[in-house]
Amino acid sequence: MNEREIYEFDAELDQALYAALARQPAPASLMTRVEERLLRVEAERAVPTFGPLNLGVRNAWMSLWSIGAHASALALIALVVFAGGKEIVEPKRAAVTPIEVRPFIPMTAPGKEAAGGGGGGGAHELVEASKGHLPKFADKQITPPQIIRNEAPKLPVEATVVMPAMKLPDANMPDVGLPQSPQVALASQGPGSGSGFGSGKHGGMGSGDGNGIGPGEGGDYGGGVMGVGAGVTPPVVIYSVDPEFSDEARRAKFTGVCLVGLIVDEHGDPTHIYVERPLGMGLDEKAIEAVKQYKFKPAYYHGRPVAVRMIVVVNFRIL
Amino acid sequence: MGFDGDVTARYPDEARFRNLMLDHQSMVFSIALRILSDRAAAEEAAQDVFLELHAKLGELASDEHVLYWLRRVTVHRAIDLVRRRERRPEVAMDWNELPEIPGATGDVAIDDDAPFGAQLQQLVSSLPAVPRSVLVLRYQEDLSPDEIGSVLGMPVATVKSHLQRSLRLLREKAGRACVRPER
Repeated sequence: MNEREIYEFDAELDQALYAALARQPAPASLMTRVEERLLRVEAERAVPTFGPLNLGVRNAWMSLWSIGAHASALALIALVVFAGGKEIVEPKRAAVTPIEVRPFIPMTAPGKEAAGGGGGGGAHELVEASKGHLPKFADKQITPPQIIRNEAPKLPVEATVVMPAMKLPDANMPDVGLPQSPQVALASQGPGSGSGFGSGKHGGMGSGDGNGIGPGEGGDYGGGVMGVGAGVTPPVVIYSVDPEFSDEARRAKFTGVCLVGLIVDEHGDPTHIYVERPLGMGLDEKAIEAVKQYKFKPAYYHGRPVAVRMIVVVNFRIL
Repeated sequence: MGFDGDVTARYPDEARFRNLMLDHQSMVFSIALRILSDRAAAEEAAQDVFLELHAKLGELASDEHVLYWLRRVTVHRAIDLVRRRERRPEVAMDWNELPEIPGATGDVAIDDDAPFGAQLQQLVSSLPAVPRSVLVLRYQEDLSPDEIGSVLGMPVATVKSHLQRSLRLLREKAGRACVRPER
């Protein structure tokens, strides 16, 4: 190009550059994203502030308000602590519920299979079942054990529970009741139902469901699915998989913890899997899918593998 | 003072911040986009700039000061990102030589079918970060060499050298690619 052409080209180039480098509109999401990040920063701050951008001399009314708010809060705490009730509410635990099975440990030789069965009863009473000796064991139950109110029945039938012939820890007491109960003041069958003694139902003794003895179900003796503790060793995870993220959660970069409840059977396989504490965003189903593939070394009780309930924590995090 | 769950509506200064963001978000995003040549990176850089503005707003008295501050921070942040991406140490420019430019031999892949404006954008994107920033501030923001020097923290003579060299390069490349502005 000659000099004149260069001059003309430069002028055209100048105009073209203005057009080519004109401002581009910002994406519609920019402001929203900035506001979301500001909200997150605000939430992460440990100490809330009333005026984060107000620098300089502190406002007298704000000081008065702050002093008043603090004094009110302290007064409220003092009121609750010193004038309120003394009842202490235990925090609700999301762990396995321990079942005390020591009173029901049989004094017989261990069998080849895990124990099962159990029973429970009560009479909708407010007071827990009173201490007493166990009723007679029999193959059938015609009359469940109860507090004797008619001492001269026209057709007397001895109260029994459905139990095999075995020796169980018992209390040396005059009346029928729960041997392990600490309640000796009032004669009571307990808050359960279906007669019998305890907090269970269907005419047995204890917290279970049936006409046997113990916290299990279906009569006879035993605890059904057991809980970790009191001689029961916990199952150990020997194979696990990482849970997958749902598309929804991945897009939202959502993380969190999902609690999954299950029964680990005596072979170490997970069964009866359910979500104990959900997380949402489609991650509950992914947690169940992952736990289904887990493999455990089973729980052991007196050297035998047993089924136990447990909770697995599934942690969804973006690395 | 109403509270609708939106942090920017909670305080009077937040209203000022919101208005400033509405007024200048295109400028900030556009500067970042021209320097980074990547929409996602430009949006990320723009978000960072506005978050920094929110923190520093109390120190910026006037809206002109805010505008100057935004240009300065956006350009510096974008240049930092480019250097981090390229992982090249900064080399002092030798004014006697043309700067090293990828494809300076004329092998820059220019789409001949694209309009002249798009080809110019490609050529500008091929420049190094600092001369590219100078061009963006000159032609997008219409700043004078003095103002550009103030924003970038460099002498006016350096700004003018960048402009001359960059335009010469663009003219040469446009000439090699046989492209002319549409008449």
